[in-house]
Amino acid sequence: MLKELTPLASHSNGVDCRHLSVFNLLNYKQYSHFESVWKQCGLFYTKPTDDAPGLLRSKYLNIEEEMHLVHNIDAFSLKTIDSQGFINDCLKSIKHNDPIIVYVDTYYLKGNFYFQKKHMLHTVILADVEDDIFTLVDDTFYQIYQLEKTDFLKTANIKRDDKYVYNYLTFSLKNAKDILETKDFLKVINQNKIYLSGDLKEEQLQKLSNLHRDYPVKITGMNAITQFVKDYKYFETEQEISQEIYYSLYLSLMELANYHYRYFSFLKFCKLKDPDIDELLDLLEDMSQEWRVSSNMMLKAMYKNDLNLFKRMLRKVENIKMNLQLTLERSAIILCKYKYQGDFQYVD
Amino acid sequence: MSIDMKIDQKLKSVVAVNANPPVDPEEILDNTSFIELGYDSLQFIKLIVDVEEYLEIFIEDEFLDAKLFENYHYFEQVIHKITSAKNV
Repeated sequence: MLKELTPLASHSNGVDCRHLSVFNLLNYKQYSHFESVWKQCGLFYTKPTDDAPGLLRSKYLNIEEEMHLVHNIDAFSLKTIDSQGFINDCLKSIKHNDPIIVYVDTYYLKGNFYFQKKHMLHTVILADVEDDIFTLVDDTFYQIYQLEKTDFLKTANIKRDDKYVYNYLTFSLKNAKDILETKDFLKVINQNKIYLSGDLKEEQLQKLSNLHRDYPVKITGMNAITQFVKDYKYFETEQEISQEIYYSLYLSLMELANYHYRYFSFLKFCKLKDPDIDELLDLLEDMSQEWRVSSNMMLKAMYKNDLNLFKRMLRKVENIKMNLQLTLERSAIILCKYKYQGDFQYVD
Repeated sequence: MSIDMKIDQKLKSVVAVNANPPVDPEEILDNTSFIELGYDSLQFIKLIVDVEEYLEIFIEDEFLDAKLFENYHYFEQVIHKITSAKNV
């Protein structure tokens, strides 16, 4: 068993299973800035077709790019269809005391609340393999599972782009930065400002669409909210909305909430004593909470089948535009004040 | 027994029975977090809906933020505030 690898004792706001697994793994590797590594925050509206309603999203970097951005952490997302190759890598990680994060399907995760109830993509840390028993640490549910090899392979065999694969994450801190400087914070403020404002170049839009392959990105920035509200106004006249729509809205609004919370948490590590940074922090915290309330309203609406909650959610999301505008303005003031010169670095 | 005590007992029993795995209500302390009780967002909002039905109250949208999820004490305070307002 990897020494002292247990579920994280406390959770900060705005974290999903992947955030928590990475926190725990980096903490285990004694990386002191582990709570600041998630920081991307954009705003886009993805739609399957021009006529159909879509989903709001916030992600514009994959995990390798996000870990590398200012922290210089080398993350690798590995996928294979070869079960034996996957098991060999698992055994190697334990032997070298270098834990990996494994994506699993909760429906097949024995011991989890959703076992044989619900298919959800989830992450766990592989903490030990002994006598073909795989020990997994689950930071979200604060649990440790011990699975036989066949059960482990079953839960780790997940669907990605219409293919069943084993998908796992490894991290190297060889080049990681120990101290974040002012320019690092400014770089992230600048980058998030670009992706929140939606003022994107053609290649950036193309990259976003590659990242969100399920639904192409149609609209970015403030207009994303406007179009989202406009598209869903149609549902206000319906008798009821399906559980699937409520649930997908919950997931996308929760992504917005979590990414805003993570950006807020990242900026809190900034040592600059500056009222403009404080103001930006307040705005981000407010927006995080507003997105969180909106997403939880969709879950509540799903359980109660309550269309009024849906209507109120649309009004709430519409109101977030005001704070978004203030966030963009405050970001511009900060970048101007510190004479931020760095161009946006396109991360490949 | 005061109304507050009755509500507290009812509330603890609903939280305890919906925990994963279910726990004895006595095990729930002020600083017990919902994470420790095995709640995720899906189960927590389900709990909110159950509590609304059980106590015949309405929890305002604004309370559905992350803070409500943190620990039992804050959750209980919010419910008390709502039930007190209802009983006035």
